[in-house]
Amino acid sequence: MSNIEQYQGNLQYAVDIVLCVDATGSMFPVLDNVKSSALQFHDRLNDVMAKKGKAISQLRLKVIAFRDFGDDPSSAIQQTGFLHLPGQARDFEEFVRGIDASGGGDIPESGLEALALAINSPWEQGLDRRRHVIVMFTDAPAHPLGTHASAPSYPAGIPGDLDELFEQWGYARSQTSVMEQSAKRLVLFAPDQAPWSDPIAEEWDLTLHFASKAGEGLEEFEMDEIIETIANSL
Amino acid sequence: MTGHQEHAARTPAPGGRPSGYPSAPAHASAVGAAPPDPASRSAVQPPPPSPHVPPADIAAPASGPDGNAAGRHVPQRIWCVDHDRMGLLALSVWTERVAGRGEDAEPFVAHHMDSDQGLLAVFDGSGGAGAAPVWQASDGESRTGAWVGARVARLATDVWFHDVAAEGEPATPETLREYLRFFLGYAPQRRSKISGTMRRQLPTTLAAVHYRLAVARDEPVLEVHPLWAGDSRAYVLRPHAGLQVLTRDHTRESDALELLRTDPPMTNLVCADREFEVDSQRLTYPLPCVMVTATDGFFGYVHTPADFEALLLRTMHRAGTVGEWADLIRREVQSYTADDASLAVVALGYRGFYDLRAEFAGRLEQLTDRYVRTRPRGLDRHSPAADEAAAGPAAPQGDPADLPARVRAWQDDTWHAYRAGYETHLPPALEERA
Repeated sequence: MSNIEQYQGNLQYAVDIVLCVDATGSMFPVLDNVKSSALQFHDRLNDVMAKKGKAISQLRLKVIAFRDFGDDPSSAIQQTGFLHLPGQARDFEEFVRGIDASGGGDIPESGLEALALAINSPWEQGLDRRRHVIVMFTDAPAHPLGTHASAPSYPAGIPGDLDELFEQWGYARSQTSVMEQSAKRLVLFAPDQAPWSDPIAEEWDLTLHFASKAGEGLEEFEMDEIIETIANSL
Repeated sequence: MTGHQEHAARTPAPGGRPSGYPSAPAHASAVGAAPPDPASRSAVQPPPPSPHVPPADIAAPASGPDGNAAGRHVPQRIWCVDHDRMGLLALSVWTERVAGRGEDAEPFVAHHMDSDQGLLAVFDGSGGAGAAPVWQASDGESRTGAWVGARVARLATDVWFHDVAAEGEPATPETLREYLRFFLGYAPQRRSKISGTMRRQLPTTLAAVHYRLAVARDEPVLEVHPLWAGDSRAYVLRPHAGLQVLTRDHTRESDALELLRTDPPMTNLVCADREFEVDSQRLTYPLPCVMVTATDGFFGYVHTPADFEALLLRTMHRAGTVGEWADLIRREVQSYTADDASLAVVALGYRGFYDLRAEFAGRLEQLTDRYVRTRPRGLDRHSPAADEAAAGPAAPQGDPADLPARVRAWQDDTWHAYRAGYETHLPPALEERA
């Protein structure tokens, strides 16, 4: 261990980020931009953090691409495990490049199922100053949880309704939370519609919400702004 | 006296209420000082009134030797005053982690001569909750809500103290909150496209100590009234008791070591768009006494809570004047912090800086023995050298993989030993008092 690499547990942040990406057809105009930016995510987050005088001791990224169980259950969820960056950058890149904007059927998508999977991710439990950040990119409202629970590929263990999902997210003195209260953050790039704005952004704790226009993709958001928001949420 | 800047007189508020202020209030007027006579430590008489200390007596803001030589922005300021005759020592330190981007306001220090009371305070704009730009300065520089919030809170606190000292405003957390709300209501705000429960308009912490000299049973005493919102802290520092925290962070976690490890979000802080509380408690201490307020840039990036006290006493020991003490504090905090850092210190009842330093020499030695010489080797530059390490835990050299575990065990042990004294005056949580 060099002098520079001496123990800095109190100074560095172990950051886990789950990117939930709406990969339905309406995201087509912006998905390439989101993908391209995601591939530079590690370097750009490090740059922004360095400018703020903060350092990341460990960065892991997980991607959940979601569509609609009501349209095509077989492609409704595609996901990676947590990937260490920069070490597993190639795996990350391969997955992200493989996401195509397609399908979706009706307007609402299966975003809450993606959020439930993100909340129940195997978050880092060691190291100091942990940050567990979920970032949701979508331009659509969401089907109520369980709407398509009978689909064969519907993930096991998904909460039956939004109240149950809220219990998993947790709140002050919550006994049912699966997220670590001091570490968790939820950043939403989602329309100003239920369930994203109300109740999630307004009632769940530790949320940040950029309201997008339903059905118009996310083109108004620059990735710099997104990275800045994530860095500021740490 | 006041810190960092001269104050201009302003129009008094009708009825002494903040709601009567003009929309663009000027700073509160400077107030004089009547600190305790050092002789009163051995005498039973209260300190006699002292003459007004004009602003010219106040040491000018100073920058360190690495300051403005190249004409660049100086990301730190120190300020101090040493009135030996009056038994008053005061300093403040303000640093930015990234030049020009600092969200701490400059610390506030004032002492009112005529009424024997004073105030020291720090303000830490909360970047996570208030990252959006809300104001553009005349030089074109854009400022975030956190930056504006901290400075507006400082102005409100300045005016509040003026009105407490000179206008008879009650020194209560409720009145301070009203001043904060009033001034924040007039501050620049911009509608943001970001919403959510993390977001606040003009969010900032505040940690202040309002103090008043009094007489109890013919002995001069110091009535201490910490006021706070958020996770900045106030302390008293005394030779036999060490550093004792007077504030409880507004976070769900209250264990100071766990706070260091997790850096949790705040549950209450000063802001313009939501309800907030100014917390407080009242205590009385014999003189002499040192009061400290600090933002988390000072105490949030150390290895164990005792490190902050060690920083204060180690730098005090190395200094020859209160100005040197301030400069050494500034240099040392910049060597380890990953945040903006600001601090204010007022010491009352000492016969000058040498007396203060001598009084704390024994405490520094005790602290060094218990909490510095026991550091695991390799932790940082304060780790014991090889020939000093015998007193510390077994630390096999060349085994860096074990260092985090050894650090954790050492943190637990030292915190266990330090905690009882440190938390002697830790107030109960807000909900426990309801």
